[in-house]
Amino acid sequence: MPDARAALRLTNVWKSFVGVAALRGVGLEVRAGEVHALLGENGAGKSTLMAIAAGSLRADEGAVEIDGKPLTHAAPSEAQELGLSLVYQHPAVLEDLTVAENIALAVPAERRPGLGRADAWAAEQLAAIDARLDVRARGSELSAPERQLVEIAKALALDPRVLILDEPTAALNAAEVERLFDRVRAIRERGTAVVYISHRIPEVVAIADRLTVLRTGETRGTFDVASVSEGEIVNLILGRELEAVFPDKRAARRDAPPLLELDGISGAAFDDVTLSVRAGEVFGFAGAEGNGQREALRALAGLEPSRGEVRCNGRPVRLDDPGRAQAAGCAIVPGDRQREGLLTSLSVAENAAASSLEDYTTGGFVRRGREHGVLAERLRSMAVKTPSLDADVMTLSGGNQQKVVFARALLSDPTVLLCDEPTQGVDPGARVEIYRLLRSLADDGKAVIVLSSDAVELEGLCDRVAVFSRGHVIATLEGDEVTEERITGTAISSTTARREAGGAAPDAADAAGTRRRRFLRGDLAPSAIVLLAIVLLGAYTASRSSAYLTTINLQSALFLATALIFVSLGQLVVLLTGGIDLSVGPLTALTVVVLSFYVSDGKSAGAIVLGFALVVALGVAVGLINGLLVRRARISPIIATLATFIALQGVAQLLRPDPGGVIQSSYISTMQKSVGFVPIVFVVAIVVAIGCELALRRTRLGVGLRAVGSDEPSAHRVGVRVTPTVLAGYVICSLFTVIAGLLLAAQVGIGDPTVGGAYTLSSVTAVVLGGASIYGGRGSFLGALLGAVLVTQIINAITFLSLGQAWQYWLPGALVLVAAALFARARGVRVAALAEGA
Amino acid sequence: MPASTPTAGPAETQGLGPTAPPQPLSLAAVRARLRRGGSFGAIWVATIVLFVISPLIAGGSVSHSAILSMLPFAAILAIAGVGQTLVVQQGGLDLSVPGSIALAAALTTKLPGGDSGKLGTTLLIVALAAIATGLLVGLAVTRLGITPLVATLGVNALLLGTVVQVTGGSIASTAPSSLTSFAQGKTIGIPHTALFALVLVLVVAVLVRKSIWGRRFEAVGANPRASRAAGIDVARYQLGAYIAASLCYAAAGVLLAGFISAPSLFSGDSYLLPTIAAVVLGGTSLAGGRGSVIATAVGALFLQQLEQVVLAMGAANSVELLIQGVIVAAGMGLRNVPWRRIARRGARPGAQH
Repeated sequence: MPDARAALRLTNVWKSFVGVAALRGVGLEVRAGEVHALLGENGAGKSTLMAIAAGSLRADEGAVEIDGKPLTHAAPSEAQELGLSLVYQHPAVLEDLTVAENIALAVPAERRPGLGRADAWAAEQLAAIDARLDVRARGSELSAPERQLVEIAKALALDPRVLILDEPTAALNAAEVERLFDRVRAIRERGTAVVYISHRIPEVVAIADRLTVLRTGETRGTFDVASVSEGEIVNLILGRELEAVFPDKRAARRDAPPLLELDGISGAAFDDVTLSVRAGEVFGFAGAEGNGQREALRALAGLEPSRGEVRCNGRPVRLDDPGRAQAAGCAIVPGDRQREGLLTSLSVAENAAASSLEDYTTGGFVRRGREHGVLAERLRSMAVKTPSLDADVMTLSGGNQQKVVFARALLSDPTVLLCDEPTQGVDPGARVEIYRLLRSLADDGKAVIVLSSDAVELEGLCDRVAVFSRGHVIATLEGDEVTEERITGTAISSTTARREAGGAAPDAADAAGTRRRRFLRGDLAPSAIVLLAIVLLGAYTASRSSAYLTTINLQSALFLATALIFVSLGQLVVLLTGGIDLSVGPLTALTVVVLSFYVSDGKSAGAIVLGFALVVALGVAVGLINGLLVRRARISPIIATLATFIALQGVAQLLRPDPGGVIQSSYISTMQKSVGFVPIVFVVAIVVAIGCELALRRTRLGVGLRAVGSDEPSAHRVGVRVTPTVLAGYVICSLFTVIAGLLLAAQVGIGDPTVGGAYTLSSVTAVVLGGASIYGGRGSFLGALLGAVLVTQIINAITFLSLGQAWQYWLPGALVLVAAALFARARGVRVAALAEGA
Repeated sequence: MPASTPTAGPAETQGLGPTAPPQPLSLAAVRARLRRGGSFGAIWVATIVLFVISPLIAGGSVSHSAILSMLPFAAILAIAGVGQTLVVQQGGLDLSVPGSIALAAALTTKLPGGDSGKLGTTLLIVALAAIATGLLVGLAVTRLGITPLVATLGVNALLLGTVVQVTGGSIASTAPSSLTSFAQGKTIGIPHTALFALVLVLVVAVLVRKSIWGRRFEAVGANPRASRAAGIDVARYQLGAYIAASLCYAAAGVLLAGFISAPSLFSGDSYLLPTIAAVVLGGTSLAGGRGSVIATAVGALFLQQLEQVVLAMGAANSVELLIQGVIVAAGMGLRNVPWRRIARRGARPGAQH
């Protein structure tokens, strides 16, 4: 029966991914003023259903109604306008933006003060939920619970009719959970509907009024919380008895020899871990998220640095890189399957064989027959469902992908198998099979270590469980002690201690040190360094040559620099979105060529105006073409702008096969007008750069550009309109480039179709020197300006320093490398993280 | 009452289940292989179509002499393209192509001063310079954490500076005659440059697809983090990619110097964008991972023949550029159309659950 009071109504929602149905005709009604829990296992469809309600996923079928009004498009911004806010389990916090910008961006402009006053306003929003955070800290500096708080503040700032909390307590400790509950109750009192997604049943009983259970994409009923017992809820969620899920544990094997012994192992996040795992044992690593258990597990696979002694089969082994760990008998099934497990875009066979290629290799060549024979046998024994060994691994279901990663680890013939969240994102059927597989490995005399955040899983699966807190093993449970209650209880009671003890550290930190670090990691530090380089190079050159600091030299050098400045400002706009524009070089040439037809000698004022109008239109058109190729045709920015690069060259040469059309001298002298040694256009460039710098922080477009470049999916989720933002970026870039073309015309004085090509790479050089990230999201217009000045200055200074012509290339090249290396280091970018970004 | 496991989707209907033995020749397997070949197959079709229609638009464009004059340039582009492909497979993009080619060309003309006897030493120096270049880029990427694009941008400038330094700003001498006679020569009517390219492409293709290093190389390109977790020495393969690429560019530079005898100072400049175009037209994804040097070579052949046809039509260089730009954009745009989804939607009108 339709409920008149429903604030959120989902009717008959269907959704499937790569052919696997995630939701099958789900209906849900949430009343205003109630906390409605949505329960289900991982993969039951909870998150998918809520993503559809929030407009970030499109349903194959079905209707969404928020506050009585239908959601007509699958767009997060529309759901938001109707009054729905969603707090994601994985916070959509944009790492390159500050806390204040993150909160402000999520809220429509009419509901908050301008971005210029965002700091104070954001601080109020955070204070409302008792969160003490520095609003000027970058997203990347926040811990997991802090990100969660930012997410909640974002959602509540919208004053929503429906608030969805997706696993909000996953990263919180007990005290933080209590504070959150108080807040949720207050929201309920205001008449807001709260959807609370969780698999923690005690929490649900404490906070919810009603609950709905999802299993394998279907609703299993909606109940008043008071009318069902916890046991009944468990049965609804699992749909079968616990015993049927987990394979039998064998009799205790206290006499079995230890296979893996850790003796005082320490690393960055864990300390003095000593334990031994026996042959035939499934050993659990437990603890609240972030207590060092994951790092300890990864250290055993050589993925984290560690010290201390590890013995495998009684022999000491070194685990300082993954290859060596594997040779020593430790293989890992990584937790983040997409990022660290799968060789995306490669086949099932290539994925499964990656760790055991030697076994099929003779004389350096992999024998396909032998390889496929072994793989087929192994995958069949694990009941992997795949169309063929050559199928793209990404077309498999989550469970089958996970089994392929398991097969890879097992084919390396490990003594100890390390599993990080082995059943995450895996359907229930595959989950049971994975449990059986782990147990059968142990029965074959191997040791298995399982890290899981699901205490039920550890209880059902493990012979012994080590509970981590603050990087230490605080308890090792065995036999009858291995229960969900004991595991969670041990972890939680000590988590609070960690918080209290850890809380003092940040306060004690030197405030000046924090400021210095933030400056060094900030967008303006590169500008300061480049400015220093400009001054030093200038001073040195002036000391060597009296002709350097003359009006005529400075004037011409600054004029030359100005054209590059404008191209660089444009290049930076595109770079901020995570793109790149190679077409800027030929666009300056085409601008010069077009001008040469209208601004040549003897042309009327009308013709000149028409010429200017044409080049502006040209800029808009080129920007739109680039942007549309990138967004609509989904061509990568490098290729899209490479195509326009080539085509623009063609158009310029078509219009002027040979240089021709002398530019009016009055135009040239107007453009080159100076005050003292400073060309007026240079002053304009500085003003424009400062304006852009402010706009980047104070306007929605500016913050939007950085948001898109920082993390496009998250930007989309918080309601940034990605396509218009990117289009605007390319158009702005082309318009700035056209301005550079206007200056270049005054400099070359004739319609030459071959000029300006060097601007493409010079502008990237200038922008990188100025500290922009080539991956988007970060950069400074002042930095781009100074970078452009430095690049021009080097070329100018070299003639005065009587250095060879070669230095014109060597100096900028070396500078780019040094600057890029410094910035990478200052930001603490790890090489692995970079590789992932690429 | 539905079963507790989800029903298998279309991708899973034919499984390696306990009862179904692997069927290497099953329809699904053939289709999967075709689909994977598909991204590299398109350029073959496009190139064949181009050669078929060439005589229709421009009479002389497929004559014996036209082909013979086009092939050496296609070959040199293909050789450089092989290097670019290897870097792209590692998720990079190599902007050091112009500097590398120019340096190799400059060294081969400058160092021997026309003396064929010094060719051996010269080639050795060229090779060492290429290895040093590749090492520099590779270390900048793997050790210093510099983006490949930025690292190769910087190294390219260093190389161009070195070209200027080595030559003193102009190239006075020509390549030694032993090299020019090889590069301009033919065996069984096929230009040596083309034969060299053919052998190089085939050797690299076999190594990448069949050897254990090639398999690991592709794995690292597809996902460096996952490869690391799988126990592969990621840095070694990334470093190897840049060194191998530099050697390819150097080979292209040497052959270019030999073929045109007196290359200009910045002879490599015109090769940067065509190598990228050849790679993407060939179908290698800029995201890294799987790639095909053979498809890149065919892409190079396509681009060179396109130039030939357009110029043979009597059109200006400008028209050729325009057409090239449109083809790169259209070629990539068409690839990204979700043809299969459209086909599936068409095949199951109103498919319901």
